[in-house]
Amino acid sequence: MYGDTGIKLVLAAKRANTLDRIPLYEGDLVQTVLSECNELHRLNEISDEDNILLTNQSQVSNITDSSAFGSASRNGSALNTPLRSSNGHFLSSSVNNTPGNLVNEGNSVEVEQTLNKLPEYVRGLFISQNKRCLMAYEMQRLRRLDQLVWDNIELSQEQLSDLSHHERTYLEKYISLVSGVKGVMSEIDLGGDLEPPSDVFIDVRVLKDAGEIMTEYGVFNLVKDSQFFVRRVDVERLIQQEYLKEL
Amino acid sequence: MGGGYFDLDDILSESQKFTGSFKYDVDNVGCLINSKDSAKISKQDKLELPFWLVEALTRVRIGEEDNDEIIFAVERPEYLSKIATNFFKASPLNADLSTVPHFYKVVKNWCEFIEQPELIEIVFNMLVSRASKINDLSLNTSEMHSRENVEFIQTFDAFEKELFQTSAESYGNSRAWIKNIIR
Repeated sequence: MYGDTGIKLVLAAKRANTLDRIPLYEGDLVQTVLSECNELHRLNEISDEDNILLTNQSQVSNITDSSAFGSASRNGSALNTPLRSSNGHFLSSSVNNTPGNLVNEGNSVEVEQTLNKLPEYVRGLFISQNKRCLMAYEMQRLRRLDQLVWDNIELSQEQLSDLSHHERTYLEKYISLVSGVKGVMSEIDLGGDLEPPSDVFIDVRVLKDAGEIMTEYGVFNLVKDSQFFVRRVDVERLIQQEYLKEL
Repeated sequence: MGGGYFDLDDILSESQKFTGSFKYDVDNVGCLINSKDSAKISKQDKLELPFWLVEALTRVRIGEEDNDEIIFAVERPEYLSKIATNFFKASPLNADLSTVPHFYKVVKNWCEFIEQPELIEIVFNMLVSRASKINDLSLNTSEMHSRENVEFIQTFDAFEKELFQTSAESYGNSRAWIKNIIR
C-alpha cells in the first residue's frame, strides 16, 4: 500500500537512534517515497482535469435542457458523446441533474459528489503522510549532526560519505553558524563540558601522535603511548578529538 | 509522552492498523486494499487501514450539519475489547503489551478519537501498577534475570521500555552520586 515505504524510513530513523554513529543515508527509500508522491500528485492532477470536464459537461447539458431545441443542442450533445463515454460518472450524475430526481434523491447526489472526490482526498492524505515521514527521517539525522557539532566531534571522511549531498552542505553551514555564535562571546567556552571538573590536573595517555603543544607549564611533545600530567583545560580539546585519553 | 509532527514514535503509533469498512460502495480507491486504483470496495469489505487514515476518513461527513453521517466506520480492535480490558483490570502485570508496540500511544490516539472515560481509567490504572513494578525492577536490577521478571519485561510496550531504561539509569546515577558524596 502507499505509505509503507515512508514507515520503513521512520523505522530506519528509529533504529539509527540506538546506533553510535549516523548510518548511511537511505537514498533509495527516500527516492521511492518521492516518486510515490509524484505519482499520487500526477493522478490527482488527472482527476482534477476530469472534474473540470465534468462540471463543463453539466453546464452544457443545462444549457441544452433550457434551450431545448435548435441546432445548438444537437451540436452540444454531439460534442459531449466522446467525453461522456470516457467518464462513467457523467451519465449517472446527469440523470440526477433532472429536477424530478433532485427532490427525491437530493441526498444521493451529495453522496455521489462526496464519493467522487474521495480518491483525490485519499491521495492527498497519502502525500501528506509521506511528507511527514520524510521530514521526520531527515530531522532525526540533522539533530544528530547538530549534536556532533556542539560536542566538537569531527566526522571522518568515511562518515561524511554516509551523508547525502544536502546534509554535507547543511553540516558546513551549521558549523560556521555555531562558530559565529561562539565568536560573539569569546570569553566563555560555549562548547565546553557542562560537568564541573573534579580535578585541575589530570593524567592523560596519548593515543596518536599530535605533535608539540604549548602550555603555561611548558612544551609537551605528544608521542603515541606516552603519559603526561597536565592541566585539564589545556588538553580538553585534544581529548574530544580522541588524540588523548584521560586515565 | 511528548510528541509532535517530527516524533518518530508518534508516527509509528499512528500507523497502527485498525479494521473498518465503508458505509457505501466506493470506486477508484483501490489503493486502500492493495489493488489497482479502479477497484471497487463494497460495503461488506473489511479494510485494514493505519490510524491516521481512519481518522481522516471518518472526518468526511455527508448531510446537513446536525444530521450528518460518516462514510467510514471503524471497529474496536480486539486488544481493547471488553474481554481484554477486563483482563487488564484483573491482572495488569500479566497483560502482554508487546503485541502492540506503541500500546499507550495507540490507546491515547483511540481515546482522543472516540471519548471513552472508562477505557482511559482502566489503562491508566494498569500503567500505574505496571510502572511501580518497573520501578522495583530497575532499583534491583539483580532480580531482573529471574524467570518471572524476564517474562514480565518481555511484555513491555515501547513506552515502558523507555521508562525502564530511564529509571534504571537514574538509580545508577544517584547511587554513583551518593558514593561520591561519602568519599
